[in-house]
Amino acid sequence: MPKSTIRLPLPSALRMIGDYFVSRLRQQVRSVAFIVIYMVAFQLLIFGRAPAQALTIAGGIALVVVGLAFLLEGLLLGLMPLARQVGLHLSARGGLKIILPLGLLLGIASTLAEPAVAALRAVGGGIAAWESPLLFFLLQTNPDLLILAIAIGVGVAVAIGMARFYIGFALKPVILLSVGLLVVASLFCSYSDALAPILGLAWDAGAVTTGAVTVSVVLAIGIGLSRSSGKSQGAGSSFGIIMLASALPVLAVIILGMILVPRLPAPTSATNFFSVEMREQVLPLFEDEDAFQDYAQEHVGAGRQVEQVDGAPTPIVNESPRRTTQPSLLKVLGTESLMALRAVLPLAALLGIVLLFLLRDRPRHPDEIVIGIVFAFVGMMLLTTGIRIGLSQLGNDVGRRLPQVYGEVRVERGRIVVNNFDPAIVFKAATPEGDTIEAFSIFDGDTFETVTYRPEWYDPERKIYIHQIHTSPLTHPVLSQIGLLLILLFAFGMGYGATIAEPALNALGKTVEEITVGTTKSASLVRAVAVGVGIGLVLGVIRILYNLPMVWMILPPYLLLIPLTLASDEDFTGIAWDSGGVTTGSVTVPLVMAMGLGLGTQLDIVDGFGILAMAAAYTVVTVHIFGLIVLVRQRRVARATAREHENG
Amino acid sequence: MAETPKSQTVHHVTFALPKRLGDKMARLLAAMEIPLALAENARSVRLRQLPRRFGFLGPSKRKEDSPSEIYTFTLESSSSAAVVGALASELGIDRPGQGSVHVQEVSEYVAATPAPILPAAGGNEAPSGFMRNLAVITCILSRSGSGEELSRLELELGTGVPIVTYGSSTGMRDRLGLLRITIPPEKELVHLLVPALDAESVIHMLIENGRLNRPGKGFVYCESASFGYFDTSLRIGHQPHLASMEQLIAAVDHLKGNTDWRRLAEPDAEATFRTNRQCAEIVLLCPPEHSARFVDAAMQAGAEGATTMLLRRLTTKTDEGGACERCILIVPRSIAEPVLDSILHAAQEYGGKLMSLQLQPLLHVFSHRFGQTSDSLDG
Repeated sequence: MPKSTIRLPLPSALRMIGDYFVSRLRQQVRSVAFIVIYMVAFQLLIFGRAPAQALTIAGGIALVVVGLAFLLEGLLLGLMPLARQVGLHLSARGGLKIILPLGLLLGIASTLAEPAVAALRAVGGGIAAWESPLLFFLLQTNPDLLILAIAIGVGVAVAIGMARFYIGFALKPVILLSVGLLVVASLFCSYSDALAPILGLAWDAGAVTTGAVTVSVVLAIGIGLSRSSGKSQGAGSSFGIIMLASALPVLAVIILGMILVPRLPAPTSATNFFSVEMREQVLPLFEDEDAFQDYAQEHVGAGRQVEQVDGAPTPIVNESPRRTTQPSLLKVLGTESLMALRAVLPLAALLGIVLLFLLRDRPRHPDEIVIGIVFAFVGMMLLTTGIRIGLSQLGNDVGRRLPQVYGEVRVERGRIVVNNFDPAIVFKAATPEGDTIEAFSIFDGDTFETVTYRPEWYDPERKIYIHQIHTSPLTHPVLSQIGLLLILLFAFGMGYGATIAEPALNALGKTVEEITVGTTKSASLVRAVAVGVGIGLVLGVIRILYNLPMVWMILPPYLLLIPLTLASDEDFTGIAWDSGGVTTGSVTVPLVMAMGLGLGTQLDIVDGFGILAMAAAYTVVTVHIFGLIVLVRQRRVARATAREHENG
Repeated sequence: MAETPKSQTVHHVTFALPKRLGDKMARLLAAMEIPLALAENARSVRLRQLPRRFGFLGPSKRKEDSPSEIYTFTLESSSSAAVVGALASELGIDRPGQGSVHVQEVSEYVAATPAPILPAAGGNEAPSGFMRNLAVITCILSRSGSGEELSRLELELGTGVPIVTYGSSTGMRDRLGLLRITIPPEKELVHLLVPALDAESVIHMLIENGRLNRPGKGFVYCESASFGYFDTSLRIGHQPHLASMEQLIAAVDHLKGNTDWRRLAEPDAEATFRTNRQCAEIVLLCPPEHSARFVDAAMQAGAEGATTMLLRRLTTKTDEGGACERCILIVPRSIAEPVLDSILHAAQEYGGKLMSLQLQPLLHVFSHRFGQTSDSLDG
């Protein structure tokens, strides 16, 4: 029993609370400032106009700041101490028979809690069933299977990671083994037409699984465990679980793909896909016959619908552009608070139950833990709400307008409007496959251009034909240079800025600073990670724009990482690989998606996978390089002192 | 309860080593069969001198952190000199940059493990080359970067390489109710080994220049060490002379065999503050997350609060590794006994969770609080 509580007079208590809030808010204002200023500057300088709905966006950003402050404080005050205490007692009172099931449960619970799969579905939303039946099946028809695979991957990873502290084996072999497995599996997939498309999904799944709450809980358990098991040497051995939790889901998704591929039809053309002969094979992709019919109606060109889909009714206009509607604040707050509850409560409850009933201990300040959990919940809710109505609007806005910037020089908004259009000028042409298409010629006062005729672009009442230009903008000679540069610059800055605000990364940074007693500063680590994410986003965007094969994007960084891992010390290797898993969290993922969707809508890109995976991969590279620089500097200190001795 | 707890005098050894020597140290400790040693992560701070850019005259200085580890263990007084001497020569402590070591005499009330009986080769004499009559100054500051400034100050003084560790405080904070969450418990501890004769003037300089006499700034205390070895590599990098000032000082130290000759200025007689000389340090060790009950017991007996840090246990027994907590309590000497009693009583009640309990008188203590109350404590 401590001495009696001190009762402070109300004014000084209020001042303490005031100071506390102001200092936490100031910290977050600083972390969000970069990305906000960057995006607004882009809008003002490049597009020459203020962001649309500036007021809503400003409100959203305010929510983000408050939300981040609450979330980080809640993690540091409630969830992390709770998890650390669980970790401290696990090895003494638990042993492997508790550690393994708990790890598995934690991993599965955290995957179900944080809505990574929703993000993946959004990214892969434009994938057609015939282009990659496997992706379509996993994302649209049977996402539960995908979630399950990811959850098992994360669960096994957390279990192995925790057991590592208990048994005490080194991290480097684990890393090299899992990376080796992933590289081999990816190479294998890349040689199969049916499996290749899943690579992007698999690697992104690995990157998105670990959200802010999971990361902090897993980190804190690792610290507790590694400190109490005593079998591990040095500080860095507290890390490594997050790395595994990012790597094993990739493997799990690839394995799931390998199991499913023989049961699903091979990628084919749309015509073939909807043909009657294929029906037998295609149907497993859909829940039932009706779902197939609906899908067919949406995706088959109007002219051919009748022949291909038996008894299909009215033709449907193609390609209704994806629209982002402005959701109402209350509605967003409602859905986001449910999501926040899902992200915080199961993990907190699991930890609490394990601590109280299995390990038979109680926290020193239960009130502090409870208020921390409440803070984390409130923070998560405000943060995600703020991102949805504020930051991602801003990101989407810029992402959408950027491609237009370089569309403007040649053809305004990528369209040619033909007034007084006479359908009689349409003629028929043949394709090498023997199909017949309709076309007509446009003369713009300088050159003739023959374009495909699409009945749905013709408005017979007003006699207007709107020709939409669908050439890939990057093939355009004049604009590609500046336009591409701007897009890549935007991607870099956005990755950098979003990462600086990432709460999970701040939790990791604080942990690293604590463990290294300040020799590795949180701010420098965050900066190194942010640069990595920036580079990753740039390369990820390049991949989508040029539609490069995923395997050629993933292999080089990982091949580079093998010597880097071998060269750096065990401590930093753990930190670097964990940073890779941490980067893509509650702030980065929605923003990257917003940018990706914004770009995608304008550039007609269907598959936006790979950006997140690139961000994770290059983060590991930059943090390793940062670690090597630190190491070299420390060796120089050692050498300098040694040389002095020789002189003396 | 009224009887005075029994204690025995032992030697408490502290090695502050660069991290790269950590593995070697662990091997040496195991080879020497030290039954229990504790390791703590730390950072050492040095000044790097660089030639000025653009050819300007003189060097520019930059603070450079490097990871370190602090190893502590307790030995029987008779064998400490031999063991420490052997360890120091294996580790090459006499070379600058290889770390420092000091040995303190403490009263032990509860021993972690019986102090090992090792061959007492050198008797109770300090190993050759070691300095005698030293003092360890520790500043406990809130972790908002004030430690940076303080360690720079200590470097400028040129007495030794400051070592920084992290801890957290309990006490006042816990009595605020839920309001406590507004006060971060994290603390930064800056340790500095100095010649005993210099201790007072160094403390005065730290208090004055580090503004420790302002409320809420922190806490400084100083305890004596029987013998030890300094790390003299304060400055690294660009050296304008053949030998650094620290090397010259070390050479004179060696020739004279003591550090008395380099006494800094007398402490300022007109200082507006006075350090308290009537305090003692109680250090207890227990398994992680168990310190709270002992700290509570101590506070009931009158202690103000405690600073807690998490350490790694290095033991020769394989089944007993893991973490443990060390609590430092600074109490007026007058209440040291009741506090010890209360802690021992709590240990009995909770069934042997107390791993070690040690007491050491302090040479000086100063904080805004203690400075003001020093008169009442003196009387």
